[in-house]
Amino acid sequence: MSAILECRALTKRYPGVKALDAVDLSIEPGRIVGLLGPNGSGKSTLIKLACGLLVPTSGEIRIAGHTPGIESKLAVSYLPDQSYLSDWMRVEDILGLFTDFYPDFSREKALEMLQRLNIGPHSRLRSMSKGTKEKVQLILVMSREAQLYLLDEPIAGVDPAARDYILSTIITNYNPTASVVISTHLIADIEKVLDDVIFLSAGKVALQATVDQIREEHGMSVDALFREVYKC
Amino acid sequence: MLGKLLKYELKATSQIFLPFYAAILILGILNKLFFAINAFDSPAGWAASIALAIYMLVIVATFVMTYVVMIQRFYKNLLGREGYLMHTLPVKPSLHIVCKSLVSLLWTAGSVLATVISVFIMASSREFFQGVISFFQWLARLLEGYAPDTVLGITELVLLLILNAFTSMLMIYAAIALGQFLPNHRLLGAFGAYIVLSTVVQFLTSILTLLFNAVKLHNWLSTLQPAAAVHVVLWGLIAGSLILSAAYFCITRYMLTRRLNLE
Repeated sequence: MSAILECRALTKRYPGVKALDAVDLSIEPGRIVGLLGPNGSGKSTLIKLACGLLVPTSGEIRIAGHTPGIESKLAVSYLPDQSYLSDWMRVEDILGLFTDFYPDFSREKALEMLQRLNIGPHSRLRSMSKGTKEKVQLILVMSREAQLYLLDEPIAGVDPAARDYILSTIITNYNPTASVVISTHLIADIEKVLDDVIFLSAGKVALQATVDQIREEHGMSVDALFREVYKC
Repeated sequence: MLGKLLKYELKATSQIFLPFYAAILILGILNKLFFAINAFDSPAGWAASIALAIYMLVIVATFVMTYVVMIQRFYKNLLGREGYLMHTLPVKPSLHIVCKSLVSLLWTAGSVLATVISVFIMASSREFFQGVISFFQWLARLLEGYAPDTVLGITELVLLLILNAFTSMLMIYAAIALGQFLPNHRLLGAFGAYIVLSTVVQFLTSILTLLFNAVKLHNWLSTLQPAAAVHVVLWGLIAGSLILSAAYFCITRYMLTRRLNLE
């Protein structure tokens, strides 16, 4: 099967830092992938390059065969690591925006999930707490039938109950022929849902394997392996 | 797609502008009432003075805001955290630039219109409207007499005015986009880019002036009929404005596609 996300010698340099260093990577459809690594290892940079929010210094990144552009943006559903919602909007405005721009967005699905959180279409985004905004954003992102979901630190800033809510939202809503990439450093919490893991370290891929392989070959959980690989 | 972008840009900005326009019109009516009852000579004169002062303040504030919102919408919505959403929409970056500049132009026109209407309200009297009518009658006679040339000349002037508004807007957008080159000091970078762009344009203008003097352009112009000479000059200015707009547009688009660096 052809890869949904493919990087060849992908390099991104910031003034004075190499955020990504000649990364070769391929993600197949139908997988839930943990993009793991400590802060500053290049997780967000990789995801932003895939979304076209950054431009590679050299090398290539393709999503479903397309370099970042209109086609790739139609295929990718992206959850940034901060709020991108405009304060002037009500829930119905942002639902309208997603309906207008993404043909694969299901308004009904989003409304239903919002309903369960007791968020009505007339609620103002301005008056929501940070955690609620994060959940609204996740609902929007998961209500698309995308080919690739790129979720940047979806569980970093929330309490454990919200963490469970977010993980179950991801698992129950993603399109099974699609792939989900979840970047995080909180491995224990998401280990149970992952098929594959990619370890990033100082801008390089330190390891790419299935979770089963890790358990067989290393005889330990991903979390334990992570602690060993990144021991300070 | 442009239509959809315009829809959300108008929604976002109308919440800011419409209350100001309403305030201008209401204050216009209030002042008109004070004029009508000659409030300035009455014991309540202070109230009339305050109303007039607030009216002027609101007008100044509206124009300052038109400018600030133009900059802020581009900076925050495309290069701030809202840019994460805008740049992941399946939309060409050039459409974002077109959308932002069209909406800014609209609000500039809106602010002028609201002010003009409020002045009409305050000045409204039989003599005032008779004056307005006779002005337009005079204009109509003028257009009749000189027909094609004058009509064309006015059209050219209006076109030039709109284009100049566009050019100055696109120059600011280009400067903000160029500010991306200094990732840690974007506003400073934008400010610096603005100065550099202005200097370059001034330099080019001086070279063009020297060139025109060298080829004795004014001699050639004086051989033309006066009306024709005016058209030549106006179209020259329009062409210059178009070229500058195109250059700023290309710079901005390049920065948003090839140099996008959202934090």
